[in-house]
Amino acid sequence: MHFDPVVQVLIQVLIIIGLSRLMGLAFRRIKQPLVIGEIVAGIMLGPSLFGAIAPDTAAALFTPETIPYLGVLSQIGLIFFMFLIGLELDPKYLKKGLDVAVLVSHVSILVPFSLGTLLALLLYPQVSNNGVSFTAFALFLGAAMSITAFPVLARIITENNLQNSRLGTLALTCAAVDDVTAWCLLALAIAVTRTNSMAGALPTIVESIIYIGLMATVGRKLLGYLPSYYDRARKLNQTVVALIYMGVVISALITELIGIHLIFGAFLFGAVMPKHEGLTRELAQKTEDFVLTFLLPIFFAYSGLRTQIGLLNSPTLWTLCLIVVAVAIVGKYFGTYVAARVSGIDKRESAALAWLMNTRGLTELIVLNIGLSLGVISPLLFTMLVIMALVTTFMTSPLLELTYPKQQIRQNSAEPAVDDREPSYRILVPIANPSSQRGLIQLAMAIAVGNVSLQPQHKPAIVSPLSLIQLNEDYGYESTPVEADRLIAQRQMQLDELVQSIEPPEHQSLVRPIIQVSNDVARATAQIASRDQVDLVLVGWHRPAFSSNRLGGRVGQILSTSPVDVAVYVDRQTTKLDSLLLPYVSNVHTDLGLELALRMLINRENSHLTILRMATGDQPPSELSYEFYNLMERLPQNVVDRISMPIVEAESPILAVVDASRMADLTIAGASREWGLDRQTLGRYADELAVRCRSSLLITRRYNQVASHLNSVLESPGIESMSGRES
Amino acid sequence: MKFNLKSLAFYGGAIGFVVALFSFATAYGEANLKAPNKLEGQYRIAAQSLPGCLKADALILTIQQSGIYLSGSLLSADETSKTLTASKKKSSLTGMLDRDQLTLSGVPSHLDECLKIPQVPKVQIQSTVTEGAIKGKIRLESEAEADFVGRREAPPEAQAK
Repeated sequence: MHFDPVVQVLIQVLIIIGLSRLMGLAFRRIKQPLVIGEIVAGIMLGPSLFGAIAPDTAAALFTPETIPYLGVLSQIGLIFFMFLIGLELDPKYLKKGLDVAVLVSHVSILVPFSLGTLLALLLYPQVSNNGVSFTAFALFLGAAMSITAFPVLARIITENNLQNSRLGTLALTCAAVDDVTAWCLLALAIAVTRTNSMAGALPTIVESIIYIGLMATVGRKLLGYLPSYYDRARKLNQTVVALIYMGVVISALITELIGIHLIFGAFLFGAVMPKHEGLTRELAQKTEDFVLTFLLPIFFAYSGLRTQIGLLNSPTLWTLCLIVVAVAIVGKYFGTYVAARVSGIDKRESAALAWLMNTRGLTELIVLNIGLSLGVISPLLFTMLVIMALVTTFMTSPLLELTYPKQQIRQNSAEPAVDDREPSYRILVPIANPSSQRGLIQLAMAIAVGNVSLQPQHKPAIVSPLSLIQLNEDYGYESTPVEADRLIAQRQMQLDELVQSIEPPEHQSLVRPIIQVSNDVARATAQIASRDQVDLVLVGWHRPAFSSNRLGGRVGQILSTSPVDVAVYVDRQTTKLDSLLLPYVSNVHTDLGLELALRMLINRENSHLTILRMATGDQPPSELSYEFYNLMERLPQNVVDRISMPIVEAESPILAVVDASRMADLTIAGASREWGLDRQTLGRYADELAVRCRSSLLITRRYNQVASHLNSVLESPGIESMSGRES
Repeated sequence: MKFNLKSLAFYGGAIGFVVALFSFATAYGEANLKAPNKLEGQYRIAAQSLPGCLKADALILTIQQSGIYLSGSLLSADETSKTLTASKKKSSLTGMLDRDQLTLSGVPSHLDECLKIPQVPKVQIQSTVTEGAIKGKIRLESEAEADFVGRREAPPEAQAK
């Protein structure tokens, strides 16, 4: 069957994008950057896997006539990707600790570059040919060893919430300096390769410097009109976008004509673009969707078609590959580590920085493809270096965590707490929308402190609203550190408004918001709950009107995964919390509800609690447990006086509770016994209450049977229990 | 941006050392290291006198080169560009280049005649590389070896790089 080349290319693109997304998401699942999955997808489509297991089918699919089309598409993708890299290279990254960063960055290039040069002495006679000069080979190998991928590193840092830590800012600055230096080195290597000598490359070098100078002055001045235009128009129209894209292509063509490479012009154009918040964001977002989801995977596939792992067919070659990987890792690690130590950074932080700088990822792949196209590196060396790029990127996240656990990095960040006393009680409140979840915070405050005035000698009870920012595309502009910071600042403002609405104002200091980037809300909530030794997770729930899957989504996930007690709040816009209702069923989840109700009673002098016991037909009311009586004994008299325990005769207990809830501000119910049997529900009884209850509802799920929610309030001076008074 | 004296000395020393090292290494490399000759390509072999299943009007030997490390395939001379690509994707011969002596061995798995034999015999090629040609002996397992000459061909235009 013979298809038109256009049809063939479209079929190829379809397979490439599909597999690339699939592998990207699979790698996201194992906490690796999406881009590694996409690179692996490209390799899988090439001779290393598809071509090895089904050479005829692979040859029929990727026919020789169509490969040049893929090549052109991948080059266009690369040009616009480099433009995006330049665009996101914000001078903001270069402001903090530039002296240390320049030193660390340059030494972290010099050491692997030197080792690369020495390695060239070993590799040149074995894997090169006499058409390539040793100088070009050594320069290229040195440049390939020295790369740090700024875009991948920036996203690893954002994902780990490190962009504002000392380590994160230093790593970002180093990588930004590294990026610019490495591109200059690569341009030199290309110029030398094309002319085959240093002297021959001199005109190209001079022309490149002149062009960079022109772009940094004249180009920058011309592009400087864009922000004022954007401020007036408030958006980019298609004509302006077309002009910018034309500028990218013209710049790319000029650098190609000079004799370096297309990508440098595109990068330079992006780098000199004015970094105006709205303009940069809109331009990046307009460009990136098509480039990152359509064109870049084609580049990976094109690169994968040239990667032949099968060429490593003997122990000798695998040993050579191992040496290449080792030299790259050791060179980058020790270069960074030693420079960081000389600059006065401590051992652990230097080691973490050294692992971060080892991220090579996509940038390395760009360099290698240029090298292979120019013939300066052979297919065998290309494959070894691709393996090196994958290994060094793959290892970054786990080694960073091993060397320097995130918790420790944050402890070293320069944000002193307002009140650093160890809290006596802590509630974590995941919040999706700060403006609509005021009721949730008010309830948390009522449980934690109520209207008790603060005593300086007491350990405080703390409420931590947890606002997690989910970044959907880990390679998009949205997940750059600058943009993540903007989103965090925006969220911080919303939370500040929420905190300032809390009465009395003295309680505002007890609210300590946590804002961070996370792509898995439930997992992040569970981790923070464990890390901060939280007593209770309080989560809001908008009951779905048309779904029987009551706990599908994040609330269900938080309930299933949080290793602490959890309370789910269904808000019916109650402003008061004076009248509390607790239908009593003897189980651990109701005991948690009771403890929370009693805590509110102790903290709020105006609150009353009705513990409703029900008798149905011939069934007597449920017996109060031994723990219940124990609890009552510990309460002060003025609290006990505000508790009533009526017994209600009812045909249907649920109807009795619904009826009683009409008079209550808040009904508190424990999850039913069957909680946990079916993760989608809280149990039949609690589920039904969630639908029919007339007041706001708090459903409690006990995790830790030892934890007490009353100790911290009962042990406060001035609280005297009934048993204490009697004795 | 402020650099202290210690950092500046370290920086200057490091750059000086690397420039010196690079100059020395390139001077040594250019003068003393010799990379192998480039021989990658397709070679047409007159195959009327070749042993066993290799016997044909003509064969094509494709060679891919990464320095001294070689891989390749033996193909029928009338193969389409699709088969050529497939053979590149999965080379059936591997070997090495020692100065101008080439060795390749493996199974001729792209030749239909050889695939008809229940146990496909191994093939071994030893030759000398000269300008635009390879000349040497080809040996099929359990057959007598034969002399051959392969002349370099220009690759088809449409073939992928």
